[in-house]
Amino acid sequence: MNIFLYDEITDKYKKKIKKTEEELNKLSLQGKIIYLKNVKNLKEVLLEEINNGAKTIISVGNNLTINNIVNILANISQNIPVSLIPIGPNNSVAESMGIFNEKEACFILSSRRIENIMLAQANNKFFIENSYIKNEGSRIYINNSFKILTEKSGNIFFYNIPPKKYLKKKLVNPKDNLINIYIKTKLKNETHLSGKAIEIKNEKDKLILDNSLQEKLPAIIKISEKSIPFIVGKERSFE
Amino acid sequence: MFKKDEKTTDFNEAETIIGESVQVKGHFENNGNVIINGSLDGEIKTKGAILVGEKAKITANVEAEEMIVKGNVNGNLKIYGYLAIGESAKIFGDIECLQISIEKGAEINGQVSINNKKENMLPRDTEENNIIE
Repeated sequence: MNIFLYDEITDKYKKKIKKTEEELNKLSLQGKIIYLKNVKNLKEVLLEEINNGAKTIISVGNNLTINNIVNILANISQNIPVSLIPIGPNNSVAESMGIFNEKEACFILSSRRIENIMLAQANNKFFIENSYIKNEGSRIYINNSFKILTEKSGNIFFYNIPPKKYLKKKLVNPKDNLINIYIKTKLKNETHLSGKAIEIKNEKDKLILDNSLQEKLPAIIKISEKSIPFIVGKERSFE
Repeated sequence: MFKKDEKTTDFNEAETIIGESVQVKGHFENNGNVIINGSLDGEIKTKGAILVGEKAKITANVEAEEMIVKGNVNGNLKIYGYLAIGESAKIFGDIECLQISIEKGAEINGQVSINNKKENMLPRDTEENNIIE
């Protein structure tokens, strides 16, 4: 059975949700809907549904929704496919899976193209696409052998799944078990490099995971040993 | 900057780019091509090529397959292939390479030795002189 986990944010997009449900019905992709605003313990709910034979978990919401779900699934032994239906803003994780809107998400769910995605972790929290921090005051130590500093204001991004524009240029390989670091400032020139283990220090700021969760610093970022089977768009290549 | 028949590495797909506002300190080791437009202090080794931009400042010993220098380098260079030194380059250190081209206006303060065989060039011993505060 498909388990649809509806984030509270879906309340603001009732028309979109109605259309999405119609599309899912046309594709015979009905399932059980669980409203997360009514859930006190998501881990218990997920375990119960998986034990009852859930076939797919579908995150209906934004980055925060999928990040919360993934942080639970990463800590349980069952490996169940996860899909996303992006609703509203802040859906870069869905985009990184090749899912750009709710209608497309229904067809992608139907086609069930599964890619096993290694999760990245910052301390004990998992993230899927990226994490970032402001440049100011940040010291980045890479592979315990060198450090990078920058004075210009901007952000330092740590990608597990790099943006498509970098993949097109073959600058990075999303399956190389490396975190890709991009430093963006107002200067036009960019900085990018990669590392296996990255330590981040900043006394004034916090690390933002998947543009949704915060993590205290210092933090060590690396590719974790956990993976999640994601249902992805046909255009999305991870090779 | 260089003659057409001097084939140098294509840096359009460099795996590592150090931007203008970025400082790198420590032992930097890499397998691919590297572009440096910022500053690097320590040591750098790569199995690919290095491009040192005009505004770059490097205080490090360098070991690479190929190298193009347009900025400042304070350290010894060991290049197993072709080294191209541009007109804006300032190098303070000894150079060992297989082939070299030097443009008018470039400054070199150090010994230059050109080997005729790659086999004659032994890699430097790995020094565990890593920084990090």
